[in-house]
Amino acid sequence: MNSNSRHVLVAEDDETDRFLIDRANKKAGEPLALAFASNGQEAIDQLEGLRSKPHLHPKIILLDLRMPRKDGLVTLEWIRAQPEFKTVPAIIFSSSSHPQDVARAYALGANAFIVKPGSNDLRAQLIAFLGEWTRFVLPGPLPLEVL
Amino acid sequence: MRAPLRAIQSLTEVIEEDYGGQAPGAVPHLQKIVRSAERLDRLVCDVLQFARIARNEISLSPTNVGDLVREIVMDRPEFRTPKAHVSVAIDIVSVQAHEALLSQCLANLLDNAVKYVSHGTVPYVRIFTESASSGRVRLCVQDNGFGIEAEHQSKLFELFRRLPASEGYEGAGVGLAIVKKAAGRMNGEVGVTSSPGLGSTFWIELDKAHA
Repeated sequence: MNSNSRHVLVAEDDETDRFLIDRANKKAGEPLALAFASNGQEAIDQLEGLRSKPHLHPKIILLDLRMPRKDGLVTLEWIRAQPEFKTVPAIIFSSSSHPQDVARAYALGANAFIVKPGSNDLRAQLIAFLGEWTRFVLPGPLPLEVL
Repeated sequence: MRAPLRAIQSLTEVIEEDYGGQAPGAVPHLQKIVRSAERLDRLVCDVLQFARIARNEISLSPTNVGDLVREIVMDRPEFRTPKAHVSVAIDIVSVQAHEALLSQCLANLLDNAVKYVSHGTVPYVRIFTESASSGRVRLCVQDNGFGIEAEHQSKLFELFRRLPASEGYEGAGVGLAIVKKAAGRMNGEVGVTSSPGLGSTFWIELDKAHA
Protein backbone atom coordinates (compact mmCIF):
# COMPACT_ATOMS: atom_id res chain seq x y z
CA MET A 1 0.00 0.00 0.00
CA ASN A 2 1.35 3.44 -0.93
CA SER A 3 1.68 6.03 1.77
CA ASN A 4 -1.04 8.10 0.13
CA SER A 5 -3.45 5.32 -0.76
CA ARG A 6 -6.14 6.55 1.65
CA HIS A 7 -5.13 10.20 1.78
CA VAL A 8 -8.07 12.57 1.28
CA LEU A 9 -7.80 16.36 1.33
CA VAL A 10 -10.93 18.01 2.73
CA ALA A 11 -11.45 21.76 2.30
CA GLU A 12 -14.24 22.90 4.59
CA ASP A 13 -14.58 26.30 6.27
CA ASP A 14 -17.09 25.28 8.94
CA GLU A 15 -15.29 24.17 12.08
CA THR A 16 -18.22 22.06 13.28
CA ASP A 17 -18.45 20.27 9.94
CA ARG A 18 -14.69 19.56 10.05
CA PHE A 19 -15.06 18.17 13.57
CA LEU A 20 -18.03 15.99 12.59
CA ILE A 21 -16.31 14.61 9.47
CA ASP A 22 -13.16 13.92 11.49
CA ARG A 23 -15.20 12.19 14.19
CA ALA A 24 -17.10 10.04 11.67
CA ASN A 25 -13.75 9.10 10.14
CA LYS A 26 -12.19 8.15 13.47
CA LYS A 27 -15.16 5.90 14.21
CA ALA A 28 -14.90 4.17 10.82
CA GLY A 29 -13.61 0.61 10.61
CA GLU A 30 -10.86 1.70 8.25
CA PRO A 31 -10.27 5.41 8.78
CA LEU A 32 -9.00 7.54 5.93
CA ALA A 33 -5.93 9.72 6.26
CA LEU A 34 -7.74 13.06 6.25
CA ALA A 35 -5.96 16.36 5.79
CA PHE A 36 -8.10 19.41 6.46
CA ALA A 37 -7.97 22.87 4.97
CA SER A 38 -10.28 25.60 6.23
CA ASN A 39 -10.75 27.29 2.87
CA GLY A 40 -9.83 26.95 -0.79
CA GLN A 41 -6.64 28.99 -0.51
CA GLU A 42 -5.38 26.75 2.29
CA ALA A 43 -6.10 23.69 0.16
CA ILE A 44 -4.12 25.24 -2.68
CA ASP A 45 -1.25 26.07 -0.30
CA GLN A 46 -1.18 22.45 0.89
CA LEU A 47 -1.17 21.15 -2.68
CA GLU A 48 1.61 23.58 -3.63
CA GLY A 49 3.68 22.08 -0.83
CA LEU A 50 3.11 18.59 -2.25
CA ARG A 51 3.70 19.45 -5.90
CA SER A 52 7.05 17.67 -6.15
CA LYS A 53 6.09 14.81 -3.82
CA PRO A 54 3.77 12.61 -5.89
CA HIS A 55 3.80 9.88 -3.24
CA LEU A 56 2.02 12.32 -0.90
CA HIS A 57 -0.61 13.55 -3.36
CA PRO A 58 -4.17 13.10 -2.12
CA LYS A 59 -6.17 10.26 -3.59
CA ILE A 60 -9.32 12.38 -3.52
CA ILE A 61 -9.98 16.08 -2.95
CA LEU A 62 -13.24 17.02 -1.27
CA LEU A 63 -14.16 20.70 -1.65
CA ASP A 64 -16.92 22.57 0.09
CA LEU A 65 -18.74 24.72 -2.47
CA ARG A 66 -18.96 27.93 -0.45
CA MET A 67 -15.83 29.00 1.42
CA PRO A 68 -14.10 32.30 2.13
CA ARG A 69 -10.90 33.37 0.34
CA LYS A 70 -11.27 30.81 -2.46
CA ASP A 71 -14.50 28.87 -2.86
CA GLY A 72 -14.77 25.26 -4.00
CA LEU A 73 -15.22 26.02 -7.70
CA VAL A 74 -12.33 28.48 -7.90
CA THR A 75 -10.16 25.95 -6.11
CA LEU A 76 -11.32 23.21 -8.47
CA GLU A 77 -10.43 25.39 -11.46
CA TRP A 78 -6.94 25.87 -10.05
CA ILE A 79 -6.53 22.14 -9.43
CA ARG A 80 -7.60 21.28 -12.98
CA ALA A 81 -5.01 23.73 -14.34
CA GLN A 82 -2.10 22.06 -12.51
CA PRO A 83 -0.39 19.25 -14.46
CA GLU A 84 0.43 17.48 -11.17
CA PHE A 85 -3.12 17.47 -9.80
CA LYS A 86 -5.43 17.74 -12.75
CA THR A 87 -6.33 14.05 -12.75
CA VAL A 88 -6.92 13.74 -8.99
CA PRO A 89 -10.60 12.91 -8.45
CA ALA A 90 -12.29 15.98 -6.97
CA ILE A 91 -15.68 16.08 -5.32
CA ILE A 92 -17.67 19.22 -4.63
CA PHE A 93 -19.93 18.96 -1.61
CA SER A 94 -22.52 21.47 -0.55
CA SER A 95 -25.73 21.82 1.37
CA SER A 96 -27.17 23.36 -1.81
CA SER A 97 -28.23 21.12 -4.64
CA HIS A 98 -29.07 24.02 -6.88
CA PRO A 99 -28.94 22.75 -10.50
CA GLN A 100 -26.75 25.68 -11.54
CA ASP A 101 -24.16 24.87 -8.87
CA VAL A 102 -24.17 21.20 -9.88
CA ALA A 103 -23.82 22.05 -13.58
CA ARG A 104 -20.95 24.49 -12.95
CA ALA A 105 -19.12 21.98 -10.76
CA TYR A 106 -19.21 19.30 -13.46
CA ALA A 107 -18.37 21.81 -16.19
CA LEU A 108 -15.23 22.78 -14.25
CA GLY A 109 -14.14 19.16 -13.97
CA ALA A 110 -15.65 17.83 -10.74
CA ASN A 111 -15.91 14.05 -10.66
CA ALA A 112 -18.90 14.13 -8.35
CA PHE A 113 -21.22 16.54 -6.61
CA ILE A 114 -22.37 15.41 -3.19
CA VAL A 115 -25.06 16.98 -1.03
CA LYS A 116 -23.52 17.53 2.38
CA PRO A 117 -24.50 14.83 4.83
CA GLY A 118 -26.76 16.36 7.47
CA SER A 119 -26.60 13.62 10.07
CA ASN A 120 -23.85 11.60 11.70
CA ASP A 121 -25.16 8.40 10.06
CA LEU A 122 -24.84 9.99 6.63
CA ARG A 123 -21.36 11.27 7.46
CA ALA A 124 -20.33 7.72 8.32
CA GLN A 125 -21.72 6.60 4.95
CA LEU A 126 -19.77 9.35 3.18
CA ILE A 127 -16.53 8.20 4.82
CA ALA A 128 -17.26 4.61 3.77
CA PHE A 129 -18.03 5.80 0.25
CA LEU A 130 -14.75 7.73 0.05
CA GLY A 131 -12.94 4.65 1.33
CA GLU A 132 -14.48 2.53 -1.43
CA TRP A 133 -13.63 5.22 -3.95
CA THR A 134 -9.96 5.32 -2.92
CA ARG A 135 -9.92 1.57 -3.37
CA PHE A 136 -11.71 1.20 -6.68
CA VAL A 137 -11.77 4.43 -8.69
CA LEU A 138 -8.78 5.32 -10.83
CA PRO A 139 -7.98 8.89 -11.79
CA GLY A 140 -8.66 9.37 -15.47
CA PRO A 141 -8.92 11.82 -18.32
CA LEU A 142 -11.14 14.72 -17.57
CA PRO A 143 -14.29 15.79 -19.33
CA LEU A 144 -12.57 19.11 -19.85
CA GLU A 145 -9.85 17.47 -21.94
CA VAL A 146 -12.43 15.64 -24.03
CA LEU A 147 -14.18 18.93 -24.72
CA MET B 1 -29.18 28.90 6.28
CA ARG B 2 -29.65 25.30 7.35
CA ALA B 3 -26.03 24.79 8.47
CA PRO B 4 -26.51 26.02 12.08
CA LEU B 5 -29.48 23.68 12.47
CA ARG B 6 -27.53 20.74 11.14
CA ALA B 7 -24.79 21.59 13.65
CA ILE B 8 -27.28 21.63 16.55
CA GLN B 9 -28.69 18.28 15.43
CA SER B 10 -25.36 16.55 14.83
CA LEU B 11 -23.58 17.87 17.93
CA THR B 12 -26.54 16.86 20.12
CA GLU B 13 -26.23 13.37 18.66
CA VAL B 14 -22.52 13.48 19.49
CA ILE B 15 -23.27 14.39 23.12
CA GLU B 16 -25.83 11.60 23.31
CA GLU B 17 -23.54 8.98 21.80
CA ASP B 18 -20.34 9.96 23.61
CA TYR B 19 -21.64 11.15 26.99
CA GLY B 20 -25.19 9.79 27.24
CA GLY B 21 -23.96 6.86 29.33
CA GLN B 22 -22.72 9.24 32.02
CA ALA B 23 -26.06 11.07 32.25
CA PRO B 24 -28.82 8.67 31.16
CA GLY B 25 -31.49 11.06 32.43
CA ALA B 26 -30.41 13.61 29.83
CA VAL B 27 -30.83 11.25 26.87
CA PRO B 28 -34.59 11.80 26.29
CA HIS B 29 -34.02 15.57 26.37
CA LEU B 30 -31.15 15.30 23.91
CA GLN B 31 -33.33 13.20 21.61
CA LYS B 32 -36.02 15.84 21.84
CA ILE B 33 -33.52 18.52 20.78
CA VAL B 34 -32.61 16.40 17.76
CA ARG B 35 -36.26 15.89 16.78
CA SER B 36 -37.01 19.59 17.26
CA ALA B 37 -34.04 20.54 15.10
CA GLU B 38 -35.28 18.14 12.41
CA ARG B 39 -38.73 19.71 12.51
CA LEU B 40 -37.30 23.22 12.37
CA ASP B 41 -35.17 22.13 9.41
CA ARG B 42 -38.28 20.98 7.54
CA LEU B 43 -39.93 24.30 8.33
CA VAL B 44 -36.91 26.24 7.07
CA CYS B 45 -36.99 24.16 3.85
CA ASP B 46 -40.65 25.02 3.36
CA VAL B 47 -40.07 28.72 3.94
CA LEU B 48 -37.07 28.73 1.59
CA GLN B 49 -39.22 27.07 -1.04
CA PHE B 50 -41.91 29.72 -0.49
CA ALA B 51 -39.31 32.45 -0.97
CA ARG B 52 -37.96 30.82 -4.15
CA ILE B 53 -41.43 30.69 -5.71
CA ALA B 54 -41.77 34.41 -5.24
CA ARG B 55 -38.39 35.06 -6.83
CA ASN B 56 -37.76 32.74 -9.76
CA GLU B 57 -38.53 33.74 -13.34
CA ILE B 58 -41.18 31.52 -14.87
CA SER B 59 -42.91 30.99 -18.19
CA LEU B 60 -46.22 29.21 -18.81
CA SER B 61 -46.83 26.45 -21.31
CA PRO B 62 -49.51 23.81 -21.98
CA THR B 63 -49.26 21.27 -19.17
CA ASN B 64 -50.83 17.83 -18.94
CA VAL B 65 -52.23 17.59 -15.42
CA GLY B 66 -52.83 13.84 -15.56
CA ASP B 67 -49.19 13.14 -16.38
CA LEU B 68 -48.04 15.41 -13.55
CA VAL B 69 -50.25 13.66 -11.01
CA ARG B 70 -49.08 10.24 -12.18
CA GLU B 71 -45.43 11.31 -11.80
CA ILE B 72 -46.05 12.57 -8.26
CA VAL B 73 -47.90 9.41 -7.26
CA MET B 74 -45.11 7.25 -8.73
CA ASP B 75 -42.56 9.12 -6.59
CA ARG B 76 -44.48 9.03 -3.35
CA PRO B 77 -45.56 5.68 -1.84
CA GLU B 78 -47.84 7.47 0.65
CA PHE B 79 -50.08 8.45 -2.28
CA ARG B 80 -50.49 4.85 -3.46
CA THR B 81 -52.55 1.89 -2.31
CA PRO B 82 -52.85 0.60 0.31
CA LYS B 83 -52.01 3.89 2.06
CA ALA B 84 -54.25 6.05 -0.13
CA HIS B 85 -56.35 5.93 -3.29
CA VAL B 86 -55.65 8.76 -5.71
CA SER B 87 -57.58 8.81 -8.98
CA VAL B 88 -57.43 11.16 -11.94
CA ALA B 89 -60.49 11.82 -14.11
CA ILE B 90 -60.15 10.47 -17.65
CA ASP B 91 -61.39 13.70 -19.20
CA ILE B 92 -58.98 15.94 -17.29
CA VAL B 93 -58.07 19.05 -19.30
CA SER B 94 -54.59 20.47 -19.89
CA VAL B 95 -53.84 23.91 -18.46
CA GLN B 96 -51.49 26.79 -19.07
CA ALA B 97 -48.94 26.43 -16.28
CA HIS B 98 -45.32 26.22 -15.19
CA GLU B 99 -44.73 22.51 -14.81
CA ALA B 100 -42.54 22.62 -11.69
CA LEU B 101 -44.82 25.08 -9.91
CA LEU B 102 -47.99 23.17 -10.74
CA SER B 103 -46.33 19.93 -9.68
CA GLN B 104 -45.45 21.57 -6.35
CA CYS B 105 -49.07 22.75 -5.94
CA LEU B 106 -50.48 19.31 -6.67
CA ALA B 107 -47.99 17.61 -4.34
CA ASN B 108 -48.87 19.99 -1.51
CA LEU B 109 -52.61 19.54 -2.07
CA LEU B 110 -52.18 15.76 -2.15
CA ASP B 111 -50.08 15.94 1.04
CA ASN B 112 -52.92 17.69 2.82
CA ALA B 113 -55.58 15.44 1.30
CA VAL B 114 -53.95 12.27 2.64
CA LYS B 115 -52.87 13.84 5.94
CA TYR B 116 -55.99 15.50 7.31
CA VAL B 117 -58.25 12.46 7.54
CA SER B 118 -59.67 10.96 10.71
CA HIS B 119 -57.34 8.39 12.23
CA GLY B 120 -57.89 4.99 10.66
CA THR B 121 -59.56 6.38 7.52
CA VAL B 122 -57.97 5.49 4.17
CA PRO B 123 -57.71 8.69 2.13
CA TYR B 124 -59.62 8.78 -1.18
CA VAL B 125 -58.56 11.63 -3.42
CA ARG B 126 -60.05 12.48 -6.80
CA ILE B 127 -58.45 14.95 -9.19
CA PHE B 128 -60.56 16.40 -11.96
CA THR B 129 -61.13 19.59 -13.93
CA GLU B 130 -64.29 21.53 -14.57
CA SER B 131 -65.10 24.65 -16.57
CA ALA B 132 -65.02 27.82 -14.55
CA SER B 133 -66.48 31.18 -15.42
CA SER B 134 -64.67 33.22 -18.08
CA GLY B 135 -63.58 30.06 -19.87
CA ARG B 136 -60.87 29.10 -17.42
CA VAL B 137 -60.24 25.63 -16.05
CA ARG B 138 -60.81 24.77 -12.42
CA LEU B 139 -58.44 22.01 -11.34
CA CYS B 140 -59.94 20.27 -8.30
CA VAL B 141 -58.47 18.01 -5.61
CA GLN B 142 -61.31 16.39 -3.70
CA ASP B 143 -60.68 14.45 -0.49
CA ASN B 144 -62.54 12.51 2.17
CA GLY B 145 -60.82 14.33 5.01
CA PHE B 146 -62.46 15.81 8.05
CA GLY B 147 -63.37 19.03 6.28
CA ILE B 148 -63.04 22.66 7.26
CA GLU B 149 -65.54 24.92 8.94
CA ALA B 150 -66.68 27.90 6.87
CA GLU B 151 -65.23 30.46 9.27
CA HIS B 152 -61.70 29.08 8.79
CA GLN B 153 -61.76 28.66 5.03
CA SER B 154 -60.75 32.21 4.10
CA LYS B 155 -57.63 32.11 6.27
CA LEU B 156 -56.40 28.70 5.14
CA PHE B 157 -54.00 29.97 2.51
CA GLU B 158 -52.17 32.41 4.80
CA LEU B 159 -48.55 31.70 5.67
CA PHE B 160 -48.12 29.82 8.99
CA ARG B 161 -51.88 29.48 9.37
CA ARG B 162 -52.90 26.25 11.07
CA LEU B 163 -56.43 25.30 11.99
CA PRO B 164 -57.52 24.00 15.39
CA ALA B 165 -58.45 20.67 13.77
CA SER B 166 -54.89 20.17 12.53
CA GLU B 167 -53.51 19.88 16.03
CA GLY B 168 -51.70 16.60 16.41
CA TYR B 169 -50.83 16.51 12.69
CA GLU B 170 -47.35 17.67 11.79
CA GLY B 171 -47.19 20.79 9.66
CA ALA B 172 -46.14 24.38 9.79
CA GLY B 173 -48.81 26.09 7.74
CA VAL B 174 -46.65 26.70 4.70
CA GLY B 175 -48.02 24.18 2.16
CA LEU B 176 -51.17 26.04 1.15
CA ALA B 177 -49.40 29.40 1.22
CA ILE B 178 -47.01 27.92 -1.36
CA VAL B 179 -50.00 26.75 -3.44
CA LYS B 180 -51.52 30.23 -3.38
CA LYS B 181 -48.24 31.96 -4.20
CA ALA B 182 -47.45 29.51 -7.01
CA ALA B 183 -50.95 29.75 -8.47
CA GLY B 184 -50.64 33.55 -8.39
CA ARG B 185 -47.37 33.35 -10.33
CA MET B 186 -49.27 31.34 -12.96
CA ASN B 187 -52.05 33.99 -13.12
CA GLY B 188 -54.25 31.57 -11.24
CA GLU B 189 -56.54 31.68 -8.26
CA VAL B 190 -57.11 29.22 -5.45
CA GLY B 191 -60.03 28.32 -3.25
CA VAL B 192 -61.76 25.62 -1.30
CA THR B 193 -65.24 24.27 -0.78
CA SER B 194 -65.69 22.18 2.30
CA SER B 195 -68.00 21.12 5.10
CA PRO B 196 -66.98 19.49 8.37
CA GLY B 197 -67.30 15.73 8.08
CA LEU B 198 -67.84 15.82 4.33
CA GLY B 199 -64.33 16.34 2.98
CA SER B 200 -62.88 19.26 1.04
CA THR B 201 -62.30 20.22 -2.55
CA PHE B 202 -59.34 22.49 -3.08
CA TRP B 203 -59.10 24.11 -6.48
CA ILE B 204 -56.75 26.12 -8.65
CA GLU B 205 -58.19 28.11 -11.51
CA LEU B 206 -55.88 28.47 -14.50
CA ASP B 207 -56.14 29.28 -18.19
CA LYS B 208 -56.96 26.40 -20.50
CA ALA B 209 -53.86 25.20 -22.38
CA HIS B 210 -53.27 27.27 -25.50
CA ALA B 211 -53.61 25.12 -28.59
